[in-house]
Amino acid sequence: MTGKAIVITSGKGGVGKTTATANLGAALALKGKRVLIIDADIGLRNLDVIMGLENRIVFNVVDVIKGVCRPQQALIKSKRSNNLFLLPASQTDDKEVVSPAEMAEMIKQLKTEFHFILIDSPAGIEQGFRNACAGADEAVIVTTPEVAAIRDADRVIGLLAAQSIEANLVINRVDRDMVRRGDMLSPQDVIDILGIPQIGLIFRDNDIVVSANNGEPVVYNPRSKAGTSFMRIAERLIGNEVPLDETDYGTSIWARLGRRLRAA
Amino acid sequence: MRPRRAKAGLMKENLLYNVKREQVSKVFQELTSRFFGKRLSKVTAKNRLQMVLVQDRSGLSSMEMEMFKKDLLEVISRYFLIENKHLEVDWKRSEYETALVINTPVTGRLKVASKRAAAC
Repeated sequence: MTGKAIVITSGKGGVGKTTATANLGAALALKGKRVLIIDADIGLRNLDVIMGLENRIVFNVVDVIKGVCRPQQALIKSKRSNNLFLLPASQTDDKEVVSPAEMAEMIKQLKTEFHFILIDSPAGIEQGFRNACAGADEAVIVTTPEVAAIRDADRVIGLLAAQSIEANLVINRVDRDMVRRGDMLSPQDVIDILGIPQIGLIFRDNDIVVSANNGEPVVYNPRSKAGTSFMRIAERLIGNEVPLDETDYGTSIWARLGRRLRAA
Repeated sequence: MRPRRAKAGLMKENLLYNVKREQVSKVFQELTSRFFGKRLSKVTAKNRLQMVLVQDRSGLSSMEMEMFKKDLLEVISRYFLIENKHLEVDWKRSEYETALVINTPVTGRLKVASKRAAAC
């Protein structure tokens, strides 16, 4: 098996990289894929708490790279799925303790055992980011419809393009009402500005906060809107065509009528 | 004579289409926001982002960008009549390529240019 390694990155912090990594990992596992999620944010690990696995950590990614343990000893199986594993970051080291080459080598070896490896990148464009991208075949850029997040995303897209890493965009935390009023950039505006293909759209959803509180990815909640959106992104990552109809949030009575007619 | 839009730079048709479409939507947004009596904050956001990204992507400072525009205007006005000496520079990225798009209203061709070329 030769899996695909995907880095989840954004430039700016706090836009939802870790949440996206946890949920896309869980969603791909639900679709029957064997998935590994790696926390590459050495020194500020968080993927473990989002997954609710913080009490099970023995070894971490630095231990694996430095040969302290075998990869299999460091992987933590998720609570809900036998197909989903977490490789946590070290909390006590600096990002400089591993090199991009070491990271790439580790991911190359792990790819033989998984369909998908999702790498949760730290914010910024320094060594932590370079480590996270080193072994990646492609990238998912997470951004929110705010000027600072979009500017940083653009910078990261440029850096990835220089390494010939193909990037797809997830637009997170979109507020329908604000978009309708013209007080928030619409998903189409963001696409126009950044000029890379969109792979997903996630509306602002309180379930995300609740699921983080509980340490359970929101995709396990079938009633959650955001969870459904993550499942659709996972479908697209697998290579299935799923229409991006989340963008269809009806700005006018005609748009709504059209949607009704299409649904009928 | 009505001013025509002349574009220079490397681009494919899809990019040209996008540029046109964006101009139309920009005008439309301006009109609707004027109709509603206030400027939509997302229009401000988009315009500001487009300005700052041209700087970020090109790596030119705003002063260098002004110099670049000045030089370009000088070259273009050697061959064409330019209205108000105004120039828009954009750094467009599509799925397939990145392009420098220069947009300036041209009123006509300068006859002197051909004479000068002949003299050379």
